[in-house]
Amino acid sequence: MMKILGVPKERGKLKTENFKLKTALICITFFIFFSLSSFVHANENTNCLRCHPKIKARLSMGKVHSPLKQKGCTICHNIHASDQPHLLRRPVKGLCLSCHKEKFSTKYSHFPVVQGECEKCHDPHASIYVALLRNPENKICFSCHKKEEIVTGKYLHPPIKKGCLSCHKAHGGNYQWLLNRNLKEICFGCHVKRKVSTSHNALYMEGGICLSCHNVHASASVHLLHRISHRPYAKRQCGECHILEGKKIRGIKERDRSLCLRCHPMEKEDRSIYSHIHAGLNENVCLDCHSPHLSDEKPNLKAPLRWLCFNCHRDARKRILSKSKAYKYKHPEVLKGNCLDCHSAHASNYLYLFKGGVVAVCTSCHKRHAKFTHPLGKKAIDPRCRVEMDCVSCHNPMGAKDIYHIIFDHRKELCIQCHKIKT
Amino acid sequence: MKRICYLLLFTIHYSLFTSYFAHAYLKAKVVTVIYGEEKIGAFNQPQSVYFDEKRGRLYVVDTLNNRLISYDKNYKFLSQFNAEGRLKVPVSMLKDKNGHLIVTNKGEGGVLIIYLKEKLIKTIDFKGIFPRPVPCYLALDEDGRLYILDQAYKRILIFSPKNGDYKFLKAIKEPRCAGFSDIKIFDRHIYALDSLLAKVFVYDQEGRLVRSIALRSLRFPVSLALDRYGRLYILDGHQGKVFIFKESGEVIGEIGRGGWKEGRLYYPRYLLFDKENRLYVVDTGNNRVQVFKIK
Repeated sequence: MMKILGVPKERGKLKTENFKLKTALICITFFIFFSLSSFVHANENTNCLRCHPKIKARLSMGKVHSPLKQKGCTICHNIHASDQPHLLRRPVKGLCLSCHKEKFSTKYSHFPVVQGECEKCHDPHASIYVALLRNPENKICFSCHKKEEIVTGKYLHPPIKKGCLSCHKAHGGNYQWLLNRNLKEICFGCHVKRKVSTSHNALYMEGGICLSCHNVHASASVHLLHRISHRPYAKRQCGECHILEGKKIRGIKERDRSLCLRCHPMEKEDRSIYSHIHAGLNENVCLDCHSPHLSDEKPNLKAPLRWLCFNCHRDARKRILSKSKAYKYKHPEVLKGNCLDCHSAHASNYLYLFKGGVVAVCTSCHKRHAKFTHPLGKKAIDPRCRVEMDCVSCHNPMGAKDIYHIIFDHRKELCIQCHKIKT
Repeated sequence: MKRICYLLLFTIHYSLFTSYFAHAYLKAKVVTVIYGEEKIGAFNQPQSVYFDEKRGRLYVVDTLNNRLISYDKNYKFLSQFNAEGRLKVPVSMLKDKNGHLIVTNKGEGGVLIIYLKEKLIKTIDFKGIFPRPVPCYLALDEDGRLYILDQAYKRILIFSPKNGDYKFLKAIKEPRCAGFSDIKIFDRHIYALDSLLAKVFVYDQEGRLVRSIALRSLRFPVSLALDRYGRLYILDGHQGKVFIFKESGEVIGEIGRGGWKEGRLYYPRYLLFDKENRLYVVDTGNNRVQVFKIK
């Protein structure tokens, strides 16, 4: 090579020696750096654990989060100061996602994942449970999803005993309700299709229809049947809705909501300005909320009311479950999910699909305020928009930053919205 | 190599610069706010507006007061009209080529044709359309065809003009949608907004689906409008904002924010553009109509 380039032999020798020396030096430096860094991490951890004995105890009990084990506390925490709680380097979500990216690009996401509340289920330091869970799998699920709402009877669906994750995904999935597969596949994964088809009419083999009669979690009756039945179903009058051929069901009479309107006329609702019954994911919008066969909730609702509402009203759900200071104070009925205390389920001529005028709806519970309050109605015109004042001029029951769900800070912002200070 | 680096740097800076100014360009200014008149009282949940380009008149559909109110092009009150008490919860109106008013009378579940000169009112015949439609918003194309949004059955009904009346032609049914909430005609295409799926479905005049535009950053879109450049304006009722989208669905700007003061929107319901590129926003929660000029 040197010959080809025409470099003098002596100089070439010198260069090779220099190169060897340099390589050796670099290797030594790297060796010192790595050995020191591991020493520093070890030293760091022991330093931290001197004042955090609880964490020290946890670290010895089982699986330790690998970054903590390998790189020390400072990989997540800033030992001096931080804007984040627990002196974290970044907000929890960003911090976790910096390593665990792969699971979170799905169509449906679990709400704590969206909110970045990873630590709600996982212990960031160590745990005796798989995936560093804080508690056994089902116990964690039932800490948010009330057990009494899910396990509604003595007959349990066997997969429930195995754990929620036998059908659901914990972080996110491409199927509704975070199912790990298509509902049909899940059901027929255990129940032999042929046996089901002999005991049921072939029509029931359509995907997802199992839930129309069965509660997938638990029930008070055998075969996990729901307890409330639609009247034609209870009377076995299948022909009311279905096309029959002898005893066999050959289809449905109408695919849209006109099927339901035969018995439940909605003329008044159709003539209202705001209508809830005009949009839905099903071709027959009634079936978005109501079950045509059996149900556990009155009036034949597919699921507890709060779940149904949140299924479409994602922004309301986000706001209600949010821990942001801007929505700190919420109406207690909102938190309970009693949406229909104020809102109409089908249609209304009032804004926000309210059951009546804002003042009438609010004072139906807040009776004292009906007698004594800030002037409302025609007596008080809101100068900001020249509209008659009502309760929502100052309050937002869906969540606001100040006490009594007042929209503005009542000590400095609220009154001056309308009452300008004369200087 | 150096040249390539310079070229890359220049491209990055140029794209950042242009995107910043595209946002800046699309800012809007409030021209006027219409609150109703002292003589006739305030609006009660107006649901839509219509601008008559020919005569330069603005019509406000004052829904719960069961009336239509007209203003001149300087937004000066002209008159109010309730079709001799026939209007019951009107939600949408427009004027056809013959000068007849077409009004969705939601309280009666029908669409009225009001022949002003003849002082005659007729109801559009829904015979033969099953299930019976629940009409809501209206639109007219250049050929005079009338489009009625049937909210309950996820359909767009097309009617052709015939001797001053309208005859049912066909229906566009969209099984993939969760229900339409608004409809507009632009450049011989039908634009229909799906609130729940946050999508705009675009059809040609024959009712064939041309494309669908998925919209991001929205909470609850309720109305749409297109400006003369074909940009899509989507009104988000829950956020109290108008979002501006490219045809590709990319957000390029936004107007307003939730609130009560002028320039802010509280549960707004309807959007409309006139030919002078003025944007009418029916601010239903604040019982007013705000007019914006897009800069």
